[in-house]
Amino acid sequence: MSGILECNGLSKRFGYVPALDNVTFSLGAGRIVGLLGPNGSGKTTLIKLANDLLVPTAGTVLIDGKPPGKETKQVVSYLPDRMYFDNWMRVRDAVGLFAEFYEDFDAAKAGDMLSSLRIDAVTPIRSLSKGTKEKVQLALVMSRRAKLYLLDEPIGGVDPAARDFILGTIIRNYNEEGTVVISTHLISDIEKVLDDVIFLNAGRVERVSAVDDIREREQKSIDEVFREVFKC
Amino acid sequence: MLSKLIKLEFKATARTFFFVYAALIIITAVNLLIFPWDSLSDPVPNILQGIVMFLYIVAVIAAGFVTAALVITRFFRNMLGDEGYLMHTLPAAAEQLILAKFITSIVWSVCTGALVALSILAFGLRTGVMSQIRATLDSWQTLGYSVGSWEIGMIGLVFVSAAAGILLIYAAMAIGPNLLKNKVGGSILAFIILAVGAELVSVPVGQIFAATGTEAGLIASILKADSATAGAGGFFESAAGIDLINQSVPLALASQYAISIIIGVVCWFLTRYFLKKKLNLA
Amino acid sequence: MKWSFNNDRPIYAQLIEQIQQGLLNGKYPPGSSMPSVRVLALEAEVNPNTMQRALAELETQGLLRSQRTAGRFVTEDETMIQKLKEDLAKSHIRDFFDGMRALGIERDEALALLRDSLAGDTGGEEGNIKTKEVRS
Repeated sequence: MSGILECNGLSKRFGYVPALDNVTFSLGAGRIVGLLGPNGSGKTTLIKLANDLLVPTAGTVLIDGKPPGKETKQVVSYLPDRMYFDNWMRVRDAVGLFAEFYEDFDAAKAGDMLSSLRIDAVTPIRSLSKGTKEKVQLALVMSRRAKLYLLDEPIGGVDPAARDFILGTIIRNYNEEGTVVISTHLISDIEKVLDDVIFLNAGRVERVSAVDDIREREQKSIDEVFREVFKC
Repeated sequence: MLSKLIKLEFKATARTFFFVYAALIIITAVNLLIFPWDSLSDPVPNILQGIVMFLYIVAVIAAGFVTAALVITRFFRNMLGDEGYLMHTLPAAAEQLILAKFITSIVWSVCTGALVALSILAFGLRTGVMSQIRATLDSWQTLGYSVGSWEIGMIGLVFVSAAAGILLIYAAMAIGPNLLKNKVGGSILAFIILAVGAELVSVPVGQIFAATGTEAGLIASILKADSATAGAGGFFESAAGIDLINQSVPLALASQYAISIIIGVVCWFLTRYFLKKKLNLA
Repeated sequence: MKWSFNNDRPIYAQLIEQIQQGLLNGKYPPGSSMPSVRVLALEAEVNPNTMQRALAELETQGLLRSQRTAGRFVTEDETMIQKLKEDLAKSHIRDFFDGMRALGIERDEALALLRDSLAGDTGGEEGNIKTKEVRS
């Protein structure tokens, strides 16, 4: 059975600069996976390749057995590390957009999340603070019943309360068919939420392992292992 | 999916056009009321009338400018900027994304063009200029020139070349980021290259049509100013002259159509290829 | 009771310990129904898979029972709970003596210190002074 996200010899070069080199792994369904690595290690490149925002230089990436395209985009929910809504949109326009274009979108769930954040649907998105904008995007992305969630640095530069909200949202939305990939370089905050980790270093996969296995075998936290693996 | 995308495009751009069109309509109306149309021979309109006419000209230019600017910036921001992270991950093919913007741009361009034409027409009717133009065209018609088909042909050509122009601009923006690190600079560079390419295309196409000999014959005849083949009214009223012109104009139009269509098709495929295979956001 | 974790030990093992504590201190009384995996995971802020693993382990130990459609229940078997209490208590006691030995304090001395501190506690609640107060 093929995993929900499968990379085989996946490589990406920008001109002469290699961003990913021979990446191979397979992720099963219903896992929360940490894609860990320092800045510039290729995490964002990998996620963009899975989203069809970049085309591989070599190798393949498959989502649910299919190459990235119109079909896979229906089952992949992506949270990039930046704001991607038009300036003219109000919160309700963004909700409307998701409802219109994604069949697996749960508008009621999104509405609940937004009210619990006390965000009014009529508010223009551009008038929200950066942190609130990020929460809106997260709420929308997690309100889809997708097979693969790709969250690119969701907790970077975010205050602790917001971090808790994000982790709580991820846990609350967990479903057995959905795999969540969280890319980050801030490990200690999220490691108790992870099932598996992929260590990415300079475009190469250093390790792929279940989290508790590492803790049992080495009696170390993932944060500590990270520091060892990526010592300068 | 395509209709959803088109709906999104209109939603995103309607507000701007609403203001521009409203301004144009109001200024046209004001001009019709205030300007001394009935006494055009009066050499010095007063200051107010001068300002109003000036504003009208500004409004017309602005309408055209805003339309072009919106076509360009909508594509640039939405496909190549941060919004691209949303658009290119929607479950839609690149063709659909491009087509939705293309169709919307055409519609807005047509609307702007029609609105401007109508407002000028309003002035024309007011001054009686329209009837004079109509009279001239009718007199040509009676001579035997198939003016009617030319009118249709020329109006159609405006649409087709505008469409090709839009696709050329899109292609330039799709290619641009691949040429230079600066997306805007790269797009301008790509635009220059494509525009030059388009000019180069027009040469061989023009040759094909010239090969039919009609245009050459027409020019030769005009230059000859042959009184033998001409009648009382000169070349342009002679039967031979009328025939020649009736043949050349459609051919000239056809060659322009062909050039525009070729450019449009090539730019469509370029846009699609670069957005599908060479996309690199941020 | 707040859930707290050490990231350098397997989380599922820590979850087991903390749920066991809950079984003993009344948070999850015998025979009561356990909250769902998702609710527990949310409360503890851990991965539902990890929580599931901990709960499955507790089922294997016999401390939890799972009923097809009704979810998980705490065992009503009082002897099991009692045994858990004893096992955990013994483990803490072992830790105490290990800790004392690490300070160079052997068993008898440790016991004496233990008795003294207990007497001090029943005599007065102020500070660490282990004086024998005479109450008049």
